[in-house]
Amino acid sequence: MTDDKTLVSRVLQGDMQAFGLLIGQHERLVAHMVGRLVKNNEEREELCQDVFLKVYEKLSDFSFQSKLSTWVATIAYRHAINWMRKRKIPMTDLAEEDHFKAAFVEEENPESLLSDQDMNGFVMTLVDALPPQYKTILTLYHVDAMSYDEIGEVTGLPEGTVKSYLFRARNLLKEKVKKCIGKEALL
Amino acid sequence: MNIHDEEMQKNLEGGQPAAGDEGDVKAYRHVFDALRQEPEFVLPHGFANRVVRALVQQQTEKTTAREYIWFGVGIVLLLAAFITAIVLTDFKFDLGVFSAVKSYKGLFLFAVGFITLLHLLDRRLLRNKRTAN
Repeated sequence: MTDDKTLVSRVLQGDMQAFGLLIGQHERLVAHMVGRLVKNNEEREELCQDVFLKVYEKLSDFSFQSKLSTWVATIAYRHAINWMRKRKIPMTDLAEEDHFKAAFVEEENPESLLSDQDMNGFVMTLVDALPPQYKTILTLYHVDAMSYDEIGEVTGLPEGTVKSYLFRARNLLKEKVKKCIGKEALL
Repeated sequence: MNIHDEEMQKNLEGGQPAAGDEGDVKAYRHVFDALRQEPEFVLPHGFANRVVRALVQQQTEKTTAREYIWFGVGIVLLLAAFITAIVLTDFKFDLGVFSAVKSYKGLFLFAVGFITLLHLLDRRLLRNKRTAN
């Protein structure tokens, strides 16, 4: 694998093959982030393309203060969030988290969902209902194996907040799953 | 969230046995297993090539737009220089030798009309024949 510095300098010299390589190395990460926040497949693809066009446009600003993947993820996250804001897609205000938690856990719907899908699919449906910050943190931590520090850089949140959101998100999911398992056992 | 939950999450994440409420442990296991799954959405094969093509097209469009802008600026500057030169030198436009044509307006118009007619005939008859052969 070509190292970040060599790859970036080749792309900045106008080497399109190198840019293709850069996309190949990071498309999985960008797809995870965009895929978690945006529902429609065509819009997801278009957004991923826009993210890489932006990466190319801003690459000369990249100062190697972080890993290239973290920087690319930052652009993907901001782009997806801005896209959601423009489309006026409702985003849960985390300041009203207690209210959200109560609504999330108490909402009645899981039995039919659980009977239609396996447990993994069911949990992922629950993840989809979480606020975007939670979804992003869960994906970057569990799927892309990023550290708290790197996730903080991507989302612009302090490391402590990242840890706290990660624990809270998993706790919310646990509460909901526990409730469903309990109901299943009763049926 | 309480300390008990935090401890449980840490233990499960580290692959260690988690003590506590059995229901909580079971639910957390389901959550951790699901979160480790790769998301379903994957980009299509050849995505990188498609982005590179889009980028090249975007760059070509930008270059073309820039060239048009410079072309426009060039014309404006040329006109400005032309007008400035006329004003500064007090230049009076004179047809010079072509003023003689004024006396032969009819002949001049006939020449233009005749040449146009020849061009039309050439297009309609000769070129069509050549294409047919």
